[in-house]
Amino acid sequence: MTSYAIQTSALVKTYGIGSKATRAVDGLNLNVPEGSIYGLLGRNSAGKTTTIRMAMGLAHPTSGDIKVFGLNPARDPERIAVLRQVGFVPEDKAFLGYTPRKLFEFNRSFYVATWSDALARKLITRLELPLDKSYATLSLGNKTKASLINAIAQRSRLLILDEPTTGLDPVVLDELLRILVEDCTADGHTVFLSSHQLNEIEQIADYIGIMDRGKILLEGPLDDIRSRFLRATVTGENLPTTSPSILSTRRERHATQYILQQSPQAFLAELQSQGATIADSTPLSLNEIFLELCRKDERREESTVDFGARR
Amino acid sequence: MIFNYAFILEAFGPFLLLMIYGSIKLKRQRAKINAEGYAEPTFASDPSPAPRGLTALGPRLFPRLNAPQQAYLEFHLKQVRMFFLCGVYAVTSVATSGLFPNDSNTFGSDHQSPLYVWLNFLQGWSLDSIFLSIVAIGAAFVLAMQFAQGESSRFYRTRPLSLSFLFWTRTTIATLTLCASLIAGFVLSFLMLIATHGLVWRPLTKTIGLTIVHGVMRINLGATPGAVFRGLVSSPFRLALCNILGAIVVYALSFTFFLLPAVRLKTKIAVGFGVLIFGVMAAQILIRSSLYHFARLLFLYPRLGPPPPYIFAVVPLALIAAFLYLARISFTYLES
Amino acid sequence: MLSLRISASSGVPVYLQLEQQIKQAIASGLLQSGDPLPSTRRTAADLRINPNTVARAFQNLEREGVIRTVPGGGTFVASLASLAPGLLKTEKLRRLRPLAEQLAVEASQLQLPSTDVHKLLDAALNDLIKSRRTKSSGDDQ
Repeated sequence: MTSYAIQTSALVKTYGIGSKATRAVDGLNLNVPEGSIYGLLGRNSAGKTTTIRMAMGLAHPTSGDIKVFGLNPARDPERIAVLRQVGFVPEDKAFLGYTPRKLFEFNRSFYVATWSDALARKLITRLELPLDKSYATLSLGNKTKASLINAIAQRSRLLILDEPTTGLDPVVLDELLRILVEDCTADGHTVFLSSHQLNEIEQIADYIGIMDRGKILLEGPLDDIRSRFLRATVTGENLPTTSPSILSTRRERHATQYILQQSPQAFLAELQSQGATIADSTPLSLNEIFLELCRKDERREESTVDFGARR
Repeated sequence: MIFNYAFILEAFGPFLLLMIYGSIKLKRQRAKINAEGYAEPTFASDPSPAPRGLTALGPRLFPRLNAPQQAYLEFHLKQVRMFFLCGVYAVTSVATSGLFPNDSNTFGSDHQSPLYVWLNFLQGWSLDSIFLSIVAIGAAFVLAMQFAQGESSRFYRTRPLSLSFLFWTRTTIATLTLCASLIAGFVLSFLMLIATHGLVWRPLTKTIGLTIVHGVMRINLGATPGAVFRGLVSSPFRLALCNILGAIVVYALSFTFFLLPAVRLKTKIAVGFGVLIFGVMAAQILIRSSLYHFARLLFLYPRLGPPPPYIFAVVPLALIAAFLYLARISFTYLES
Repeated sequence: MLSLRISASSGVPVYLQLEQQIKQAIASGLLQSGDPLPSTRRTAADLRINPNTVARAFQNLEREGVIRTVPGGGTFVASLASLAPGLLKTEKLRRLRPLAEQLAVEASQLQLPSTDVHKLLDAALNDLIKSRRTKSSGDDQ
């Protein structure tokens, strides 16, 4: 019986009223298992930050459900129980306090039971954060680092990171990945990060969710997802163009290129038994899977957009 | 209305100077830290030093608060001192406007007579509520912005503190500080009157047939030749109380308005400004006219005359409570 | 020390890459029987990959008898002597079959005749034996 750190059910968040209403989150079903490193991928306006804000109780759902460790984060007193167990790095890395040192000294008094000074010191050294620089002179990267250390040193059961790589150079980014793997998954803790740095997520995540236009397009263990997708070049006659296994087809001069999204080996075996030849088959990287899924979603949208049509 | 420009400069000028001085000092501090370069970071494990003075009040009064709540409380009590001093300065300068000489002949042509000094002083208290409103709206704006905008609001809402605690602690501290600075300001201005002109009202009881009935002084009409009296009585305590309560009502109303969730910040600032400039002046003029009796019902005391009875103080108190509860409800839906 | 290189975006599952590289290291003599392996957590941190992935690879390797964990901590390379007889010949053939097929596909695409393919394979096997021999003779001295 898996327990979930975050779980949403038909979650909807609408902004604006009447004709100007936009659905930032549109029927989201998200499932983040406890103890995993979950990467939420999506384009800029996919609704990732809105979802995270609802998980932190900063925004209220319009309809639907969101639960963090089975608790409702929008309403006191469950909200406090949630916040006690969550470390949060927001999307915009604005800064509170005079210097990072003062921020940490202040923040630790809110999390007396779990905060670790030793971990904070280790992080400060590893990420090279200047402790006593005033906030106005901190670069964006340093603000991100301070935000990260502030949340990670809390040693929370759930760490929510919204775009944690903003402004970080490659060396610091590498250190961050190591820290996330080394320190943040101990004791069955969960890491939930939203990013469009696919390479980094692909490395450390074991679960991913791909989100677009307020909905989840695909979700599950990363290895399973990777094994579901395949790019195959097939030659033969009367090759099918639609099937639940096919995400997209492209006809070339001498062959057809398929992007397969489901049971690819079975599909290819079927084609072979009908006489087709598999010229080439390669797995897709997460980046390619993401692009293909989002493009397909867009193509569906484009056919319904009515732009300057002549009447 | 008395618009004494020197007085305006005296009241608000120092704040400008303070801000300029503060930013210069901050720049120098930053330059010093940045020049020292990257020092080896040692992050202390020692607990923060025990709170002293006013900040110790929190933990002592409410020992049953848990650590996060105490941290929050302590932080905000630290800020109180500064706001209190600023508030006292602003209110005192506003309330002593009656000490400045003006050109009107309302209370006789002899500007040195005790009667003139006394009544002019009290009129200063009653007519400068517009400036008290500036102080009140300013305080409300600062407080609301701390709740609604910026990193501080989001930071506190993501710590394990209940929304009620977040709201009521800061609001109560701010309101009490405003109250305290209003009271201190009026008391100080009264002391300044005594310091500059002595116990001005004492001789009045003897020479002009002033009597004190139930703590309220009554002046006999027409007792002084060449003077025109518009009002009958003056009671400094009640006058001060009306002003203080009125200012707090303005504060509570503005606070609730600034905290409304669906309105954009620029709109709020524009409306606040508009209300300040036109609304309060219009209210002043209206009150000075035939709507005076309505004003008494609201426990306002805009001109010298029979004061509203103490029981009407319930009205502003009720309004303050109502506005603050509205603000609390707004707060739940903020940042949504 | 063991140097592993994992590419998350190559399309090959990470746990598989890890298994293959450890087996490769054992085959080429970089890792010898009885050598300790770093812990799951340490390996994950060093490679910046998910600890569950490393755990999965280690579990698979242990099931195949390539490595063994000692109760009380520590993972070690199993002794090669104990390894081989534990696997039936059919199992070994089954494991190598996909590699052989891949070689066959590539060779046919490049239109390389099968005799050349056989020569290639023999050369690779000989090189491996040679390098292992020089290593052990180097150690003896």
